[in-house]
Amino acid sequence: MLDTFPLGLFRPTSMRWRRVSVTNSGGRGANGITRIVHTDGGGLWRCEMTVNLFSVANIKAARAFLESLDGGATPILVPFYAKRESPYPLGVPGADVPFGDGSLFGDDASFGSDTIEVATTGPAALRATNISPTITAAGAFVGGEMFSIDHPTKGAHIYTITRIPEDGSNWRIRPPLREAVASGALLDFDNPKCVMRLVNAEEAMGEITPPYFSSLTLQFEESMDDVA
Amino acid sequence: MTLLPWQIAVLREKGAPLYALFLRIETPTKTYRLWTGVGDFAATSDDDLETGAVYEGIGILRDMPPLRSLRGGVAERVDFTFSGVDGLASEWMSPASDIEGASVNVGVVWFDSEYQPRAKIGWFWPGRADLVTASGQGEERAVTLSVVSGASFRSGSENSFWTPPQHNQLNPTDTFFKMVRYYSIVTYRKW
Repeated sequence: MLDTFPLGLFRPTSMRWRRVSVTNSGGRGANGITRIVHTDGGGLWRCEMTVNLFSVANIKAARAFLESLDGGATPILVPFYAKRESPYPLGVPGADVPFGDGSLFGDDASFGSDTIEVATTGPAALRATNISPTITAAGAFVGGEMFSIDHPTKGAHIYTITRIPEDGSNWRIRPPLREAVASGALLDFDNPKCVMRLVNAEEAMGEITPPYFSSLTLQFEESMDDVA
Repeated sequence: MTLLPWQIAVLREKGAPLYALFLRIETPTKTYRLWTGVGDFAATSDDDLETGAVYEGIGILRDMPPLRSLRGGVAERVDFTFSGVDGLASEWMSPASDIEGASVNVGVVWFDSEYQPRAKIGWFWPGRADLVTASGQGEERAVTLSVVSGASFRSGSENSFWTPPQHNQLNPTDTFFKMVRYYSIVTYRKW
């Protein structure tokens, strides 16, 4: 079972998700036009985030976290911060629920309550770019929402809704599905996550400066290896 | 003239700005299937001999070398580079490896604007695996597979063969070899 990046413990001051493509160019034509092609079949996700570490406890936790990733060899689930964007049924995310005595988990996380319930109406093939959703509980979708599907073999991967037709019957998504999905597969809009690897392990931890502050600069790249 | 969205979509489809290259290496015991795209690609029965074949796109294939059009008996040797940390080095360099002589094929697929293949994999370059080299530069490891089309021997130059059946396959109506059977000195090659 993969670890999840503790957003509750390491609160990013900035976070950027982007899909990285591999392109080839045919050179500049006689009319000045440069022909460009994609050869990556859809690209893969990269997530960059910056986290400030303002206490000894945070610095030690960050060090332990980085070491557990084994220089990037160990994959991890990286969540997309969806609380400001996802279409919650009542317009607000589900409440974070602590233990009965008010305490939290060791990484300051609490129990989450998902409020958005969307599933696929029918099956979708590997590399499909259109899915048909059954919306049980959600607000309005406008396009640009991020969600994840927890695939049996490839693990959780994130997708973006790029186009919604007027009748909402078929969503166009990017990137193409990493694995075929069965009918009724859940689309996680509350806490989308993606299996990724750290690609800048050596430079991730910043210098420690007085009065003992530091920072994390993390670059994750989507992992296509099987997790099961 | 301002183009309408549907016109742009048609032009984009005609321009076909999306493609990927496929590599198939078939040894007697195992077939390696790799492509330049991200994730898995499920081949159909038209693409591959094996039903349910899946081409992997997890970064093992690092580089596609320049390839020449093999017409009229032209032969060449090219090197394919692979990730050196994914077990290929140990598999292929083992004394028991059967990679030497493996059939290697390179194909291409053009995608539409929804990343769906327009047609089956177009296999356009055949070769045979010859030599495996493992190398390392700093922290990076690579495995290079030398592939040759035609014949190659440890000594002497590369040779290629140009036979009537090969020529007829590419040029069905050409009668270039029509009189070969009447030659008094002829060599028969069994394929």
